[in-house]
Amino acid sequence: MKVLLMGNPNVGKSVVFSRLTGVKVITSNYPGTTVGFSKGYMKVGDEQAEVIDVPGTYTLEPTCKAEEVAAQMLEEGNLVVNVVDATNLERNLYLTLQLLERRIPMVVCLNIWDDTKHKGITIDPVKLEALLNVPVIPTAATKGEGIKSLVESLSRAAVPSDPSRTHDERWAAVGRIVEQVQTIAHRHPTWLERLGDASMKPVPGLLIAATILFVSFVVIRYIGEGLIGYVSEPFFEGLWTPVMMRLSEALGSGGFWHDVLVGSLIDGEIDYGQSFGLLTTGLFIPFGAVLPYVFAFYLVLGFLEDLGYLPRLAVLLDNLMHRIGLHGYAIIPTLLGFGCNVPAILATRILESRRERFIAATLISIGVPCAALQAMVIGLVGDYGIQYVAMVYGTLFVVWVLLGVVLNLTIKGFSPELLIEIPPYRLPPPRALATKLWMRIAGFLKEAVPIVLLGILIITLLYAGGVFDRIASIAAPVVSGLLGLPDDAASAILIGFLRKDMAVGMLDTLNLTAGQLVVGTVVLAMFFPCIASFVVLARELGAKDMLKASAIMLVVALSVGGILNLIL
Amino acid sequence: MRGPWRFNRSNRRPSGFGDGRPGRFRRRWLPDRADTEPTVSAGSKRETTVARMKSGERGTVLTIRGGHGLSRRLHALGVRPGKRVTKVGSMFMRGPVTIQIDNTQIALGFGMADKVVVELDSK
Repeated sequence: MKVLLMGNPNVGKSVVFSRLTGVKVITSNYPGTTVGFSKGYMKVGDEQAEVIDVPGTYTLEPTCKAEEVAAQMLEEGNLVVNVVDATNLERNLYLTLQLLERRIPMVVCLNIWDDTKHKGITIDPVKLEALLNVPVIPTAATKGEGIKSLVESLSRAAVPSDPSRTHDERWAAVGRIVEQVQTIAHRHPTWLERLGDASMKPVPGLLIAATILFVSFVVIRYIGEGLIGYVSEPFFEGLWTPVMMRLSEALGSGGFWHDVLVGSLIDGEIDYGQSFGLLTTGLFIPFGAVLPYVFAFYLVLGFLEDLGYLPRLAVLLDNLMHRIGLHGYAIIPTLLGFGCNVPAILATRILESRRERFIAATLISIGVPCAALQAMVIGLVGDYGIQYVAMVYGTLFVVWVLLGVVLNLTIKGFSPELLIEIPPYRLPPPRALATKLWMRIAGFLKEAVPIVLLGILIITLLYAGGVFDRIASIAAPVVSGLLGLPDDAASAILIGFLRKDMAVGMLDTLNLTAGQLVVGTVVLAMFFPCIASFVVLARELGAKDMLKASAIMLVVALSVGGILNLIL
Repeated sequence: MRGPWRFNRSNRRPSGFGDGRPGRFRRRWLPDRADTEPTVSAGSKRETTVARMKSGERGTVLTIRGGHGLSRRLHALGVRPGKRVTKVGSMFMRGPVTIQIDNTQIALGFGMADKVVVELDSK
């Protein structure tokens, strides 16, 4: 049996899903958080049922890829739980009626029920149930209220007998229902609402955006550096180094296994940046250097997501984004890309046209460095001075804009106008924030650690086999001729295909000048995507567009690297 | 009314045939319908579009000037004839317009917003 959770965007389907199945999924306060689908299981009566969290949709006539997914899935469902935003009953009921007309057993979950009281809305769920002829259950999913009754109601899900209606008939029916079940009392706006309205006006909006972005940067840097300085480095240097030194002695301070596990000793010491052993650099990069920044970034991003700020930023930047062939909502995937390019490329599904998705995904792969890469850039390039870090970011930003303008002018088509719902500001519940942060960190560790370890193993083996020397001599004309880097940097750029953080770590062992390090990291950031994003890019864009995107990356990375080399 | 950039900008993201998407082959020598001044009919009834309302003004949606596609998309978001609408704000240089209908705030591109015709409340 398949249970589908369907409803308008941003009504809390994913929260209900987590409550029903115990499966944790990313939830946020903006339309379009869920673009794929998640599966979980629950008991309905005595039967084991598969529950699917379907992307939000306003109607069953899809207008973007995420909504297409929703419409397709309806074909396979045996039972629909229609999640409805009780504070927006009228608009939500349109989809409800459309679903009823499909004559699939259904239950209506009247979510965000807790918000109706202070919004002055009174709804009579009993009457609504009588009018719709299917069970109607009020819930406040973020607090877990009403979920038990919802589960019980599933066994009495009714098969509706609604006739098919035309578009206008449906709205008329919605109007009649709303008139009978809902009354709205006048009330004064809350401070959160006033703040929300202010962000939609140009001058206060810009001020708010500047403040939020500035505070975000400061907080991310403060937390990231603080964790590295006070937690991860003391841990590795104070506790882990002695263990490793003992292991090094036990292995006889050399030999194959020593090189694989501990790596090479630098002046008889372990250097986490240079040793490149599985248990030294292999653990230090993901846990010691990158994790603190991943934690800090996702903490701040999660807060902004749940607050409901991101769609407001989209409105503010809409004009600028149109110049690079996108509309404002593309800022959401782009921001996600600063964490990891993989979910960012997936999130481009919220954009309407194939053209936009191609531009957005290509720009993210080239110009948006992921948290892992950024952590290494800040850590290693930052040693030479903040101006070099600024150079890396500045170059990437300029490339992002210029490439966007070029793509916009050269790719046939247009950028559709923005049309989005702006969710109300909501104070994020700490528990939800913590859950989301934990999921993202667990996701990072699961992705990163095995690949870093595998990468280190490959590096050690290739060095031993002399393969890197051969690569270096083949790539020499490009790497040293065009980019002005030592030949060995070719191996680092190649390893960047596995993981970019590790590749920056390799660059750092080459004793580069500050300028060379800037060239190297910029090329690394723009050159090919890492293997994980590469796979997603291929899946989302299709082979042909992925090759096109890759070709653009190669050309742009090499030319920008060449130009930087001439300047620096 | 909207500054010296008005005529250049009207062609930057030209409006198409009503689906809210700009078309490539528009008759550019004709003024955009969007550029006509709000019509003032007899009596106190004032007709305008949500794009041209001032922040804080209220009105009632009369019609959506545009094709089927755009109407449906807007209807789905709750922008329908007969609904009460409040303008929340708009970004400069013909940026997106934010309106409130019932409890929903919707941001829509200037071109689309200029197709949503409203009757302003008389003061």
